Amino acid sequence: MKGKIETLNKMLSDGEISVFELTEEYIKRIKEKDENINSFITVCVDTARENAKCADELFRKGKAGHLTGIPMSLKDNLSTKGILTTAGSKMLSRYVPFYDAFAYECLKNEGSVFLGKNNMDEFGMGASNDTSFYGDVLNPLDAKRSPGGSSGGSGAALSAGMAVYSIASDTGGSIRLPASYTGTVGLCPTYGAVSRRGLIAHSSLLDRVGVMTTTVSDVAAVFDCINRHDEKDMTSVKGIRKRTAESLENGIKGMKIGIVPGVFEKAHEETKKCFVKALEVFSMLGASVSEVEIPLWEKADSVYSIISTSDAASNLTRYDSVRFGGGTDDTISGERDGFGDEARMRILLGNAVLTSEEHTGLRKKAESEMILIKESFQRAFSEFDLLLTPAAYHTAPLKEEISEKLTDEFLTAPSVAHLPALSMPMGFSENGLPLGLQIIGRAMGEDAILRAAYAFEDAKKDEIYIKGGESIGF
Amino acid sequence: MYTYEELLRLSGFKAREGEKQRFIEKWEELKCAKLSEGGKDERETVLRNDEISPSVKMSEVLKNAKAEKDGFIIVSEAYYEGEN
Repeated sequence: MKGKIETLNKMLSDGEISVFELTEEYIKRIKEKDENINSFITVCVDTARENAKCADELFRKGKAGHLTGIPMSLKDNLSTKGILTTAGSKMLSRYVPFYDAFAYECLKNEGSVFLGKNNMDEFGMGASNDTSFYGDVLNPLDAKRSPGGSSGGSGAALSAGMAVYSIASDTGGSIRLPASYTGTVGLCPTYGAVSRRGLIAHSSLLDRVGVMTTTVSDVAAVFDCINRHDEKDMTSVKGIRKRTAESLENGIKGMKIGIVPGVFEKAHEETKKCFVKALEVFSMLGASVSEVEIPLWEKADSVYSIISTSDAASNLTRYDSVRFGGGTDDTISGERDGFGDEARMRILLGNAVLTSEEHTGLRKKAESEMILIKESFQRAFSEFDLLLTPAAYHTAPLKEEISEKLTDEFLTAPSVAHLPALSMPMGFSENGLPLGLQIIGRAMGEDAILRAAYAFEDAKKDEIYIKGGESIGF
Repeated sequence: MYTYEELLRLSGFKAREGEKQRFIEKWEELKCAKLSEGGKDERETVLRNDEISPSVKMSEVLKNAKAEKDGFIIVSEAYYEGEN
């Protein structure tokens, strides 16, 4: 299925519309819609217009690439030189970085148009976008429901047609859950595939920078641009990267797909039915689908909690309320009270993990377990090309149901195993809300994930995306 | 184990209403996390039972004292090399 980027690129190349006009349309949408949705913390109208003029110039000179002139946004934990970067926290409400995040640098060089910074759970800590100092983000598909988190601002902006793509981060499902709840597509790449330079750290052992869009080919186009080695990030993987866009149309005939029965059976009945139908589509497209055991899957949640809280406690010590104090004088008092309740709780728990004598080694045990989980997946991937699960138990929960229905249990295992995983729509619930599918691949195997996602999207395009919404078409 | 009050001091925070109780509940949950008993023995058992070859490289790395000493990043790189 043709992506939005390809469609827009053709319109821009043919002169049907200028980048400036396109940019104005997106600025207008943000002005009209975002007052209610609250998906942006900062809107950069002047920067967007300047970028648009430069991009138009590139088209005139015949030097435009496929991302030139495409309006995009960044989650607000990615550094932007000279532009406020808050990570959703009061603690950083006056923080203006002096350099750009690596991923943004790549996209800037391509001539994309930067619209602004998306709202998010504070420091990426949350799954329902209700821990931001800048207020809750609403789901554009149903304002009473959560958009998921922590990249809920990115998901909501894309779903409401306020950006073509967004760069976000995923620690334990922060790209994939909002993608599932807002009917968008989100890729959490392999740990080390995309440089984290300029990403405000939450958990260094788990954080990844990824892509959110509204179609699979758009993910491939953006991912190929930011998937490169960065010598300034010690966790950046070296070696040649595969261009995923080139193999998108190769099909999935002969691919071996594994499902983990003990895992997907936990999903809501409606989700399970939709998932089984999706599996039938993959079979029909020529893949073989069979069961596989990942015995340590259920331990991933505990490992995630221990690792992420203790990492957060260490990473957030730098915010001492002197250099990074909050927005008002009363927070610059040497008391680190610029943190919200959730961030504070995670710092306290993390410090408890790191200092507890009674449970010395809790962190070490979690790291050992992490290696075992990786091995578990590695064994599965010696037989299978991909693993599939639903992305969430349910559709987006109502705000009052969050504590009961919101879970990222399907998402933390690939996070802990450092594997790439994508969430995309697989169908709708009876009440018309999107249900997400998760496709997990081998380390650095994003090409196989995107090939399968593209084939599935192509087969089901009329049944998985919101009809008449601005998330489709331009 | 540090008390809530000690952890507050360590973290540079003032107490907030209702937080102590929430912290105690969450910490109970976290310290009772369902982890394997951990340690080398269990890891070796898993590998011994494994008849599939790709894990071998990983097990070699894990047995390598340098990797154990230098930490996770080295293990992580070897993992990718094994995959590619």
